[in-house]
Amino acid sequence: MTIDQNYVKFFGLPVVDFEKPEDWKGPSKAYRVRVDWDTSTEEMGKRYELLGSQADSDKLTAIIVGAWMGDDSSNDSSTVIQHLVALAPKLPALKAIFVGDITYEENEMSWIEQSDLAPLLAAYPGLELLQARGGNSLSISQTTHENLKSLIIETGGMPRSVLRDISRCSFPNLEHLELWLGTGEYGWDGGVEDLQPILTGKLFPKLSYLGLRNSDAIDEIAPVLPNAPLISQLQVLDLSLGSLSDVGARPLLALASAGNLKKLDLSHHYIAPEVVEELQAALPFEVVANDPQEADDEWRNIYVSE
Amino acid sequence: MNQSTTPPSSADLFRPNADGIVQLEGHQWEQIPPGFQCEVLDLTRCEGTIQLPAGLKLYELLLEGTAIESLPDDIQVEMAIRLSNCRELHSLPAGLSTGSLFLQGCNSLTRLPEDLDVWFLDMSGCWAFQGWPKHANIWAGNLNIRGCTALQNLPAYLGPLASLNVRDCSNLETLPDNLKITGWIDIAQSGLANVKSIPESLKNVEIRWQGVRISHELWLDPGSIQIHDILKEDNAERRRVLIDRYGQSRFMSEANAEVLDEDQDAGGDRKLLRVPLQEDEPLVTLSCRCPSTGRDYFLRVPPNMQSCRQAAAWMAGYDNPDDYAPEIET
Repeated sequence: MTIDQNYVKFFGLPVVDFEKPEDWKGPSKAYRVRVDWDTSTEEMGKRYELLGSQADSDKLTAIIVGAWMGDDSSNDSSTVIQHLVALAPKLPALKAIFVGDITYEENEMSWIEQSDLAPLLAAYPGLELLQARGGNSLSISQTTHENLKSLIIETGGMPRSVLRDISRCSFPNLEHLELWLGTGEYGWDGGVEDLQPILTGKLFPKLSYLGLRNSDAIDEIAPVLPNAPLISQLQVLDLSLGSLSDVGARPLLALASAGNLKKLDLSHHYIAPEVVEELQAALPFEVVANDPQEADDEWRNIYVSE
Repeated sequence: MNQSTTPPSSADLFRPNADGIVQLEGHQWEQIPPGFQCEVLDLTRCEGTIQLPAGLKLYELLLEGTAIESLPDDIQVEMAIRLSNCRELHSLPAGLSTGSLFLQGCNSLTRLPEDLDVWFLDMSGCWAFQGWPKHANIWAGNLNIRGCTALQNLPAYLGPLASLNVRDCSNLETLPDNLKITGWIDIAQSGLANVKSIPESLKNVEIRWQGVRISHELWLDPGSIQIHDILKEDNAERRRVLIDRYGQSRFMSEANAEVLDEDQDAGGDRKLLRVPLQEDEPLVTLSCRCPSTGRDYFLRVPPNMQSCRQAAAWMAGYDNPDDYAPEIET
């Protein structure tokens, strides 16, 4: 599977592509800036500057960074992040940034070159949602952010150093942490033990949603989850888009006594129908298990790797 | 040529590389100041009996394969301490608390510290290990004590665990009442392979034999296996488990194995045996005794093997048995 659609809605707002002043439709839209393969990356900076000079742009709440690579897929996101940092004084109301609304036709997820996201957090103290796609060269230098509520990182293979970065950050109001862990073939070099600092529940006191998605290690991760103190503070545990089989699913029966959980999402899975039924019967909350997959020669694919 | 080099200043020495890792080598560990903090400290290239200063505060500490003997009492490592194959390591500090502790092959270690708190603990191959602390928290994650042959019991405080690997723990014959495991337990060749009942708290746990999922019946009642169950099993992994549970020598004799060849080696008599299998190539094994342990082994070899010598040479990686002339086999 692949990501073949750009966002049409972000942060609850309709998405509008912005290239020129005529594209401005007022501040209650989410504007996406991107360049195609025959437009230079420098054009990104000009378009952001133009966006920041529109009437009422100081009321803008959501911005999307689309494809920034131009004709060179190895261009990383650092320049475009600098553009956004420079724009911060003009966008005091900004609450949501998505760096990397990029389809596979624009650039495969595993080819996207990211960079350090921390400067965005420093430049936008009012930010509530930070989302990024692509794990290569991704980092978040140690930082504190008082208002961040949602952190979403989509990768086909997340370097374990990103989990370390997240563990070193202070996000006292983080409610939604969504991590697409991916596969070893495209950059995942961690193990379940790399999630331990997060699973202690000591890092993010307000976390109510944990997503460990798109993971081919989910069978090793799942048995630890019912034992983790963090689970008792969650409302939603999302293990979807991965390669979960009976091996990882059966241990989740032990979530029956897990405090406040309201929903367990296992969609895109390789679990036998009778085990899904057993989970749905035994667990006192909603168990979503849509999109069952069939193993291909015993090979279980995750949703997006390349 | 003037090649005088100035030693790196400590600021350079302790600057993290692009991966955020502070990597030292040789005797540079001697320069780590008291109270040093960083995210990942990699000392795997260091030499000598590494002695760490007081007040270290880290996210991850890498010491694999070093000659370290112990850690300072006040060390703080949040995520993981990697100490595999530290053959001189003899003790860890009381009250040690970290996410993961990797101690594979630390064969000088006889005890774990009092009040240890850890989620993931790998002690595979720590054959000298025999003493659990009186009080500790070993919980939530995976416990691997494969090959801890001196161990005779597990502590009552253990768990809940995600998995427990007790393979080859030949002297471990009991499990604590109320032990909870959410995932699996691997009991192959352990003293637990012969128990007849298990704690009620484990009645839903997944049982594994060398990584292969088996039924509770196959664990607790191996006498229920019939020879034809083995012969008709077409999954090679599962058949290996069935033969293990049935008893290899009993299987070869009751399956009327044909003796293809016989001779002698350092361990004593050797036989090349053949059992035909339905819809599969025949099972041809070399029956021999290990000269070191005195245990009997049935080692599967390709079905075209003609002699014990040829089979032994094949296992050592030689196609031509005349090329395999070991001075000693241990």
